[in-house]
Amino acid sequence: MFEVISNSVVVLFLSVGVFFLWVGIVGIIRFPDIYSRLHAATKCDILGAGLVLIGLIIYEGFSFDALKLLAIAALLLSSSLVIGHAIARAARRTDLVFWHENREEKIMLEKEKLFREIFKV
Amino acid sequence: MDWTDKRVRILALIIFVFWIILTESFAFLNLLLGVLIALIVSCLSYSLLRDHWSCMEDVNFRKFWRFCICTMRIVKDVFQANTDVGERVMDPKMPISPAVIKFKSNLPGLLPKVVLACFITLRPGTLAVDFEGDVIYVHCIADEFAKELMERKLENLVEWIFKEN
Repeated sequence: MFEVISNSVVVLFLSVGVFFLWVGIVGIIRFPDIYSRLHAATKCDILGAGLVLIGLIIYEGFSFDALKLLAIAALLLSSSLVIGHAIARAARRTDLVFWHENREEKIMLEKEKLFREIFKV
Repeated sequence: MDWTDKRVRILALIIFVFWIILTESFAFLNLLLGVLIALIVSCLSYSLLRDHWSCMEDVNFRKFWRFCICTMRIVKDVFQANTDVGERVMDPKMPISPAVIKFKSNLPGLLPKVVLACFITLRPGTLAVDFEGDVIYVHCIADEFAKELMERKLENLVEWIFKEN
């Protein structure tokens, strides 16, 4: 009986974690620029991988493998934030513009202006 | 190369515990090898410790305990942040209106600022992008998160962690 309960808890943790990882991937595909993509990547990676690892630790019980998984979790969670920050910082230092609602209109206006300047219409 | 230093011994202890976790055995030869490797590695990385330890100097157990309490409090925010990102991703219209704001913090020292940046990234809708002195550039995925950040609840939390008494 105890095994059934613990296994169902493990399955719950794993499926919720995989769902959040999936949300992160869809966010990386759908969001328009690098900063919003990093929102999806860092946040969903932390929760998704964390839940998957917690599920695996519960499945493993108290053993050396659980300690190894705990070490992996600590390294992953502490490095994920720093890596997200490093990518955002590199993007800002290389002058990547960030997307906002009116940006496409602005680009179109600038293109029109350039067109008029070149062809004198 | 100075293995009488306290910092080297702390690092050697951490590496030794990690060694035991990885090798899964308490045999005498294994422990001896672990001690040797831990001492060699921590002596080799002494220059790294000497140059970058200064921000860790005034860390004590009470601050670490308060940091753990705050982390527990942040876990709720992490769930909120993920459901928020999920809602925005799944919505066909994708309701985002990003903005980059400058957030000026009065926190002293390097470590409080790093902790603040990590907490900002974990909060829903905000991402710490860059540091310039006291100013943190924060990317907000919608305007309401910028207002929430400006209430400075997070900064007070970090201030409480690093308070002296």
